[in-house]
This record gives sequence, structure tokens and C-alpha cells, in this order.
Amino acid sequence: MAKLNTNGNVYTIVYAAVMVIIVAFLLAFVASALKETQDKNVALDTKKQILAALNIRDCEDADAKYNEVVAPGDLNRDTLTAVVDGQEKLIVRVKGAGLWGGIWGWVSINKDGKTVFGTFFNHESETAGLGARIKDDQSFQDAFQNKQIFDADGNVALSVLKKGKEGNLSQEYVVEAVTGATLTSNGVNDMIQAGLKKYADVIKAFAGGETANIPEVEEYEKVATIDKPIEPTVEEMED
Amino acid sequence: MSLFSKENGAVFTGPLNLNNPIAVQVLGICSALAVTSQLKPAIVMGLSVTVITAFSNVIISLIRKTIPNRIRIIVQLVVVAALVTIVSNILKAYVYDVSVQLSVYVGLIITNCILMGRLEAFAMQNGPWESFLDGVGNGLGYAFVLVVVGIVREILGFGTLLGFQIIPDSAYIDNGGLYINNGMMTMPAMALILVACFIWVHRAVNKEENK
Repeated sequence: MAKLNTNGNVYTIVYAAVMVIIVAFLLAFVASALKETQDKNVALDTKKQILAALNIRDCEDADAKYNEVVAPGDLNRDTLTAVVDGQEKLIVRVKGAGLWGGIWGWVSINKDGKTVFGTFFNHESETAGLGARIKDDQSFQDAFQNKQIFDADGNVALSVLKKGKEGNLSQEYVVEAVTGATLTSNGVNDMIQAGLKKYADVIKAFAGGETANIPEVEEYEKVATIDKPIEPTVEEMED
Repeated sequence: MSLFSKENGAVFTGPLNLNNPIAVQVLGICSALAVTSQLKPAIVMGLSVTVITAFSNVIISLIRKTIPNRIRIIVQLVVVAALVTIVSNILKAYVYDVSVQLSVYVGLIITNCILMGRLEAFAMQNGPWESFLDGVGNGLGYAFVLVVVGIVREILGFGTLLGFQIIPDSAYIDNGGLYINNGMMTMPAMALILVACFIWVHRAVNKEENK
């Protein structure tokens, strides 16, 4: 056999094309073969996050606990109901924008329809050690417990604010922002306010006792957006 | 040449000690900082890199004579990227919590200098078996440093090892003891300092050989 000229243009192009096609098929095969197992993991992780919003953390069998506590249905619906220690809770899923990417979370609400029972937040790509603390720092999430959601006029007043920025707002509505992560905290603030405002009627219906009639909303129409353009402040430019 | 000849032994053990990719060549430092705050991700990362260096070395070595010289770096990258994607998919399917912890760093194995270095310097000139040994050796050399740093950081930073409590609860200040976890150890900067200490000890021990 004549020795191939491995430096020719035609050879190079054909080589690259064949290689890419082989690799593409291989990757597509692996991805589709493992998809089912991966989806199961993602579902389990979502369940753990929802349980964390109900202050149930680090439980052994999250699957069983979830099925025991939360009403059955699609995992990704925006409002869920649950029973924790004999008390009904409403869980509202919230979505928004952080500094670098999407943030989301769940806010669970007591039967009175006024106070927060627990929260859990997660993020796509916030700065580790700063913005990422909305997920990693349990004390930030726990700070929401027993805070009031609505003011006297029925508007959402629950806010995440830097120390000293509260103005006239009473402490019972305010959670202190994560230090050094102002924009991520603003994102959490906007996300919670938009999400709770959107489902204010659902929350009222829940407090009114008509648990059976709570519309289990399937999908968000519009992701909460931040009014101002996102520009990293000096304190968040570590990245 | 037999499979376990002296030369092949040197190819395998060199990177474990005298030619360690992190301690001697100072490659792959960035990922060493990011994934060593606990032992488990450090082990998984070390194993992933070992598997990927070994198999990319073998594949490149097998096709080394057919690779057009002008696009050889691209071919190497495609092979590495394909392997990394496969490994990352497997991690997501079987050790999901670790894959979340490792997040982008699995993907960044593609840019790990150790891999490109071994492919370019070794696999392009040597047969598949030698390349396999070289890949495993370099991967394990990298994994070894990660594991050492991971053990120190997890014990001092969290008081645990692989999630098991090592430092007794009663020793903690909350329970009337005197001990408190060193939060510094959980920060990436401490990994750099520990790697530097590791290199220092390594150089001191191997003073003769290095001269």
C-alpha cells in the first residue's frame, strides 16, 4: 500500500470530518443511554431542595420523606401544598436573576397565609463565597422564618435589604442581605417579591382554608426580571 | 520489549514521585485548588483525571501515525473533550452530588495542562501500552497530591473525613471544649499554601535526586 500523505489538504479535511462524526455519534449515544438515570438524580435533588424549604434538611431517604410530606403531582409546578408535623404549608416556587445567572428557590408559608415557614435558594453560577451563600449559608435562609409577607394593605413587603437600608420598614419584613453580594441579594429580593405577588391570591385562598381548591399552577409565564441593568459592583468583581 | 520491563516501570513510577505533575512540573494547579476542600470530590476528580489521561493517551497513541501534523492539537483536544464529556455524563448519572460539587471543574479537565502535556510530549511518540502506563502514572501522581491536600483541608476545615466525624464533638468550643474548625481551610487560598508545603517537603526529601 502506498504511504498516505498525511499532510495533504484533502486528507486533513476528511480526517477532521470523519473524526467529528464518530465523536458526535459516540457522545449522542452516551448522553441518551444515561439520560434516564440523570433525570432521576435531578428529580431527587429537586425534592431535597423542596424539603429544605420546609426546614427538613439532611434526611436519610429524601424520596420517601417527600412523598410523605408533599402533596403528589408534578415536581416542577409553582405552588405545592405540604403537611409538616400536622400543619399545612403552602410552597411557592420563585425564579429570578442573580448577578451571573439564574437563581431560584422555594418559599414555604404557614397556614395563616402571612408568615414564612422556611426557604431554600439555589443558583446557577453566583460567586462562590459571596453570592453563592444564598444557597450555602443556611443562616441566610433561616433568617426568613416567621417574617411577615404582606403589609397592612396586602402588598408584598417581605424584603432582602442591606443593613441600614430598611427606611421605615419594620424589622418583621426585613431579611439582611448577604454581605459582599449586594446584587445577588437584590436578585433574591426581586425574585421573592415578584413570585409572592404573583401568587398572592393563591396564598389568600390557602389561608382561607380551601386547601382543596388551590390551583396548582403548572408554569411560570414570565421570569421575574431586575429593573436595573446588571453591573457588578466593586465588591462583587472578584470573579 | 516486555510489558513490565524496567523502562516501562520507570514510565509508570516517574510521575508518581520524581516527575510528579503537580509537585515537580507544577501543572494542573487551578483544579487542585478548587476541588480539594473535601476528600470525596478530590478522590473523584483524581480518578476522573487518571481515567481521562490514560485513555486519551492510548487513543492518541493508537492513531498517532494517521494524525495530520497541522491539526494534531485539534485532534488531541477533540479526543480529550469527548472523553471528558463522557466522564461528566457518567458522574451525573451515578454520583450526582459529587458532580454538582465538581461543577465546572470536570469540564475544565479539557484544559488541564497535564493532559495536553502528556499527549504532546509522550503519546505522540510512544506505543499504546507505554502511553497507557504514562497516563495512569501521571493521573495517579496528580490524584495523590489532591488526596493529601483534601485530607488536610477536610480534617482541619470541617473536622470530618469523607463525611465521618474525626474530631470528637466534645472537643468543640460549643460543647465546652477548646477546639474550633479552621474556616481558612475551606478557602481555595489554603490549597495553594498546602500545595506549596507539599512541594517544599517533596523537594527536601528528594534533594539528592534533583541535583
